[in-house]
Parts: sequence; C-alpha cells; structure tokens
Amino acid sequence: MRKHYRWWATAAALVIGLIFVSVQQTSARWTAAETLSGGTIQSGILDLTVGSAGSGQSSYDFTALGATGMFPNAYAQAPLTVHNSGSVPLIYRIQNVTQSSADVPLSLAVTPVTSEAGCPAQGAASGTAIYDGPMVGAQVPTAPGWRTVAAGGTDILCLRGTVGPDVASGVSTSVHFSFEAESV
Amino acid sequence: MNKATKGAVAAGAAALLLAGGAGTMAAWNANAPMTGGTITAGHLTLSADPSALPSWTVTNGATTETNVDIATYRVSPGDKITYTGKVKVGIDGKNLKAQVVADTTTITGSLATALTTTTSTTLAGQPLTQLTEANDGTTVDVVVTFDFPKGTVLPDNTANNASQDQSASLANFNVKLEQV
Repeated sequence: MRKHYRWWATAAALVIGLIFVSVQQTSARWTAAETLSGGTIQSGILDLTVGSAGSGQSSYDFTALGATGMFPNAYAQAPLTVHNSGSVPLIYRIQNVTQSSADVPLSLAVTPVTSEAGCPAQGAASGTAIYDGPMVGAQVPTAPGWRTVAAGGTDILCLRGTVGPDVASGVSTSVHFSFEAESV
Repeated sequence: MNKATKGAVAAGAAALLLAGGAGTMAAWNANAPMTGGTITAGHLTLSADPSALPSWTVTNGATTETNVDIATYRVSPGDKITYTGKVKVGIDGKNLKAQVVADTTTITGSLATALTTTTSTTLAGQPLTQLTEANDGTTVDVVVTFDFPKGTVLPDNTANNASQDQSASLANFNVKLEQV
C-alpha cells in the first residue's frame, strides 16, 4: 500500500512538473526597456518678510509708524515694504490687525505706492487707497482677495493710522499687523 | 530450479536473441527532403531618441509656461508639471501588440511623494494605447504629468510646508515597451 502511494506521488509530481515547464514555455512575453534622460523637479521656498526697502524680516518692529503726542484726528504715516524672500511667486494679504488697548480708537488707510518716497510722513500718499476703515480687524485686501509679489520682488504699502476724535488724553496702544501668504 | 538449470535457460535465451539480431530484425526505411521554410520571430525594441531632448511645461491655473528649464525652475503647490520624452519603438511581428509603460517607481526624491503622477503615450499629439507593427520605427512621446495640488488646510500647515525646497529626480526614469 505504501509502495503504491509512493508511485502515485511520483507520478503526480512529474505531471505537476510538466505543467510548470509547459506554463513557463508558453507565457513568454516580450518587453524592452529604456532609461530616458530626465531632469529634477525642485520645489521652491515660500517666504514673506516685511520691513524697509532694503531688507525684510519675519518679525518686524514697525517703529516708523509709531508716534507720540498724538491728538484727535492726528495721523502717523509710513511705508512698509513687503518682500518675497522666497523662490516662488506668492500672494499675500494683511490678514488681521489687533491693538493692545482699545483706549485709542484708530482707523487705518492702506495705499499701495511705487516707492517709499511716495509715502511721506505727512501728506497724501501717491496712489489710490485700497482700504480705509477701522484699524482693529482690518483685512487688506478683503478675502478672497490677495496681492501678488513675484519671487524676489517687493510690494510697498503706505500705512496711515489716524486717531479717532473721541480719544482720551494720556493713553497709548500698540498695533500688531499679521500677514498671510500662499503660493500662487 | 537449480543454478545449473537457470544458467542453461539464460544461455539459451541469449543465443536466441543474438541469432535474431543477426538476421530477422532488419527494417526498411527511406527518406526524401521536403520543401520547408524558416520560422522567424519578430522583435520588440525601445530606444531613446537622441535627437530630441525631453521638454517641460508648467501650468498653473490659466497660465502655461512652455520650454521650462527644469534645472532652474522652482515649483510650488498649484503647479502641474508635464514632462515629455521621446522614445523610438521597434515592433516587428504580424500579430504583435505592445504598449509603452512609464515606470514611475524610478522617479525618486522626497518631493515625488507630494506629486500625483499620471502617464500617457502619444503619437503626433494623439493618445496611443496600443502599438502594432504599423508603428515600427516611429518615435512616440511619453508624457508624464506631475500634479502638485494645493493643500486645503489653512493657515500655516506644517505638512503642506514640508514639501518646500525638495526635489524629485528623473535621472533614472525608465520606460518599458511591453507586449500585451
């Protein structure tokens, strides 16, 4: 009985082996391959900085807009240069403006100018204002609007902060501008 | 049976066999050459077209830039980058059908994972799914499109920003011509 079993096992193995040989022979399929000369796709860097015409910083102390001895309806005006310090074009906006104290009611006017000279400390900015409204919560331009800056390029904004008519004396505030940028 | 008897039987059998081999086993045969032929297999070959360098195009929204110098170009989310390489196919076989397959696993680099890759083959601008003997010797375009989609999470998102200053290399980009 055991011998018979062996014979059957041997025969079955042979048949299976033949099937495999047969499969290997008939499934031949041709292929050809070639390596193409390619290149490298490189992603860029998105980097928005603000500051003066010469240089930008990620956290800029905008002292030029600060003023003391202000009174109702007095204003401080200064240019702020927005730099695209990255390697790809970007879109940005002033996302939000906050004040450390509500004691000084302020309004904001934003005017794009072609040079910092177009934004004197006193006098009208040379351009058309794109925002004129409350300082707190200002978004310029309003979403979904953006301003575009090419890689390595700049955008100069003339910012004017005007003290409201109902300000008390002897109060102060600091203003915080936050910017948001995205790739195009 | 004793040994002597066995030996005798064996000797007798051997003698009979020898005798038979000497005379009665002859068989007739004849042969004549037939008019034949030769079965010849065709071939599948693929070679890069040395006369045509690959070209790159970048589309962003409604803007398309052609003939981009990919060595200096910096891509960003929202871009769709298209690579077009040329290969010459050799396909010889009456019933042979083949397709060009771009092996995207040979595109390497950390940026590759941020890109959605699709491939197609075109001939004179028209999509080509299957090649036959009629295409023997023609140069076809292998088009690979890399979609670099914008993330949806705002504002600043670490995962999205991780794709900055990265690269995807096609230095060993492999294309295959496979029988179907």
